[in-house]
Amino acid sequence: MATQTAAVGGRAWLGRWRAENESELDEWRRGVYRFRQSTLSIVGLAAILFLIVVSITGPYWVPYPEDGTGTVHPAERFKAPDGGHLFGTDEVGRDVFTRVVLATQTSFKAGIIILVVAISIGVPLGSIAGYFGGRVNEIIMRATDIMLTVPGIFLALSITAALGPSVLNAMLALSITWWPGYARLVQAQVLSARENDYVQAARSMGASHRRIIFKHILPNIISSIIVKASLDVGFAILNLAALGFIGVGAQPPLPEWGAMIASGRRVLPQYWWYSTFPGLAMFLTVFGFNMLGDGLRDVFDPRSRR
Amino acid sequence: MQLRYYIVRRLLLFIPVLFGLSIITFTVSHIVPGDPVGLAAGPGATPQEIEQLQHDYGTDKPLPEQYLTYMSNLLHGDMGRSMTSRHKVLDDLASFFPATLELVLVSMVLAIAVGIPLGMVSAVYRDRWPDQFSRIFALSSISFPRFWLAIVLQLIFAMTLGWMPVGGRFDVRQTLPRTVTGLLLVDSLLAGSLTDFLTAAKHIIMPAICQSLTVIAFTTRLLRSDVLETLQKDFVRMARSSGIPERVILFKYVLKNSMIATISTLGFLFGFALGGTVLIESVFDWPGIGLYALKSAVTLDFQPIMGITLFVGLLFSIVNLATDVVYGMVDPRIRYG
Amino acid sequence: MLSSLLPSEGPLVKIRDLRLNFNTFDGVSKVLAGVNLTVEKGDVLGLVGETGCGKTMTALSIPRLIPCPPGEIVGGEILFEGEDVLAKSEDEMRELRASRIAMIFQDPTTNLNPVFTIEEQMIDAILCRMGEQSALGLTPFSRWQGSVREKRTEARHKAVEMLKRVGISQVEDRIGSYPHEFSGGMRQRVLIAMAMAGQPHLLIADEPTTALDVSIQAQILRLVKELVDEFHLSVLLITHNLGVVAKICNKVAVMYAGRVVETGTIREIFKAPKHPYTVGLLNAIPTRASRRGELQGIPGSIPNLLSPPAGCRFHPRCAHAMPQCAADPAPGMIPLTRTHQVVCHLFD
Repeated sequence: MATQTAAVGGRAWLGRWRAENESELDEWRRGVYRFRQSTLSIVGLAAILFLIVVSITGPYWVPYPEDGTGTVHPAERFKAPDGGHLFGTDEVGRDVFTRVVLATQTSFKAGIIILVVAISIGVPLGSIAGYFGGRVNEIIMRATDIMLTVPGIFLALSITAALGPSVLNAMLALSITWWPGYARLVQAQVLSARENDYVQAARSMGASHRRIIFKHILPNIISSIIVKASLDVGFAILNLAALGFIGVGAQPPLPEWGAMIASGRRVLPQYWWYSTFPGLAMFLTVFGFNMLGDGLRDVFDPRSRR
Repeated sequence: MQLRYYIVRRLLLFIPVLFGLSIITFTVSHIVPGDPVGLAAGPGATPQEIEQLQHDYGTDKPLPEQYLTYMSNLLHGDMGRSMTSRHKVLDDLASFFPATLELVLVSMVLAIAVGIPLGMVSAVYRDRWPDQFSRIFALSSISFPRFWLAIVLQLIFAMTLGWMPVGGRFDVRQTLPRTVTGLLLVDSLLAGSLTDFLTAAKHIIMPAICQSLTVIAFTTRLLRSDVLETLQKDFVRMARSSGIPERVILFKYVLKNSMIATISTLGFLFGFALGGTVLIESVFDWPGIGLYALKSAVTLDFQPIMGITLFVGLLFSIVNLATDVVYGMVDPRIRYG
Repeated sequence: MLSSLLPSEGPLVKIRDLRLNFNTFDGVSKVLAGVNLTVEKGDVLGLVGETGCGKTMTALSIPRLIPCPPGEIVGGEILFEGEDVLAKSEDEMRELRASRIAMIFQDPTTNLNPVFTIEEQMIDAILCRMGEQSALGLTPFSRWQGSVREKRTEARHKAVEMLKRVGISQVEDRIGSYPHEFSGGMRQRVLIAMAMAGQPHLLIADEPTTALDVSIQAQILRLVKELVDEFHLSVLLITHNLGVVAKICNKVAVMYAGRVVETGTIREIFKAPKHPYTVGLLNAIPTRASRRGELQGIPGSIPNLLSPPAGCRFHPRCAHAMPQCAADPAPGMIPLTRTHQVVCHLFD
């Protein structure tokens, strides 16, 4: 009896919620429609979903799971791609296919962590600065601007020079250089959202700061955060690989695309497969995220609408 | 007059920026768990030698004191010495920076020369094949790992076809033109040597292309969306109703409006390109500050890295200021207040 | 110029059964559903109706300035001085817009390009109106050519003269200014000067006073009226303000939801309106008699053009609706007098 009441109450609540948010829901439906209209976005989404599945399940089905570590098979050195080794083998005889698949997980994990850290620093700072304005805004945005003046890769170099090269330090470095972008985005959006009539109305009715920020302002800027984040995951992955490539990111034997490309580069052009396949995998990943982000921007950005 | 005040005020803002930057770089390079001095001294160094070195570099003093020393040296134009090469960092910067500047400038010119027409075409043929083409081109060139593309280009045009040099800035068998600006393309022309110019051009073309692709992509997408937005404006309809030809509307009225928005992002793109030099320079063995920073990072040589980070940060601030000034000059609505 | 010397036959503009769709994400919006409209030479025709009824779209379709896509003309005919507008090439249209049709728009702030001086914009527009597009000077280099400079100087003289004519003082000092340095009323004067710089046969004025301060509105309206008399213009004036119509028009066309429902002279429409919608519209004007709270609106609201009501589009709001109004499509133009026509089953 009690559960039934709860269910009825739940349904009623759902109905009420729907009625109250009719216009937002409508907006979402249109967004989904627009997204589905765009072939490239669908391709991007499909590529990302595929790669996520690969990165999660990869360790369970790769042909040579032990090749993800520092194993050595001297007899198998630099074998060209064939049935046994789809992408060939590397300088110590490890299966390149296995390592490319395992590296997917390294990259996705790192990309997502970087973004999560950057967003959880940048969004609160940006909202506080934009919402309260005045001196708080001045201090936070000055600091943000200073952080923005350092191109990330140089700061990453200093950090790795200080802490030593590793994936973790590379991620740390990238997170530190990534949050100012979010702080800026959110600050600008909050600043303009704050002036909106409905926010002014809520304020005049005595709503608390917390309520105004979470209930009225954040929902309105969430879409631009989503768009930026979806584009940024790709770039974060790209930058992590770049650090791996120049030797200050992931260290052997951890499978990572950038580091693999760097080792493969030394044996070009003879053993071309060694650096080609990690490069393609990376391209596919970043391309997927970019198409997805581009599609999402078309969905959310009212300026690109007709 | 107003402009001068504006510039002075912006220059004053460089002080906190410099202060902030130096704190960041100083903090970062002093959380060192490793032992840079020991590393610089070499494995065979006696404790006395290490102590002597620590004293020389001031690493035996407390951190705040080290920072003050660092800051006061900095204000005297002293960025310290590289521990590996024993050169003054400032001298190293002065000798490596022109190469980077040349690379970034050429790639920016390339990016603008390709990106703007591509963006216009994309907007005019919205959703038709030229637009789809440029969209895929732009998206894929942001997605290509630049260093990977650099390797591929090297493999094809240098190693296989032999059309281009594999790396470096100039042919070792030729003597460099007399240094005037430090930019080889300019110096060779000033020296009146076409061969030198061509050699320099041949060396810079591949790195510059790799460097510019991302910027091209950004410019294209940005200009496209801005042109599309501008085309919706009332004044475009007004111009059409006056019978002004579409070509003129597009290349005069719309382009100027959209270019202004694009100019405002040039500073950001310049910074972006500057960051990319580390990768490109390492692949093409281009003797610029990116390669210098990378080599220093690998050897845990933190004085040069601090110097470079600071320098790049300041440079970026200057470029941003320049962008804002130019922006104000082309947009009549902006008044420096 | 030659065409205006020829003996005129037929009306200046004749729109017959014009149908325009907008293809939107939510479906096809039938913005114009068979518009019939005639502008005779010398007419000052007021096109009135509620916001969104298609007045502006009707007007913009004459010089073919409707953005396509998303717009799409799916039927009908537009004749301008006997020429089929819809059959013309892009270039012929440009020519027509430059030489014979002038337009002024609602918002003078957005209709001037913010990053060019008034001088630059006026010279370009005037050069086109003079048929000298070649002197537009797309590149800075072409400005060095003597012939281009000469043409531009000539156009500049014309610009100064026109600006003086529309009542801008100290023209020489101000012509080099940017639009944001002018007030709203001034900008509208500039736009009028740009429009009138040729010898247009038709002036399309789309709510020319709506965005202006009330005190400026009267001045601009007076200016338009003066110019109309001076240049012997025919005018299509779009407005939702019947007061403006009464002041300067000699004829009125009333639109409702994508159709012209009634046309006639000022006298006929204001004294003896026939269509129930026109009657409602006139009753909604505040007058002395309605001061005591007898102001009447029209019940209901304008239909959604994505799925307009079947039959006559006004029938859901009409007090006189008959069964046939919902069933049969609205009739064609029913002539009541030589000038007065109505689209309504009541007069079948």
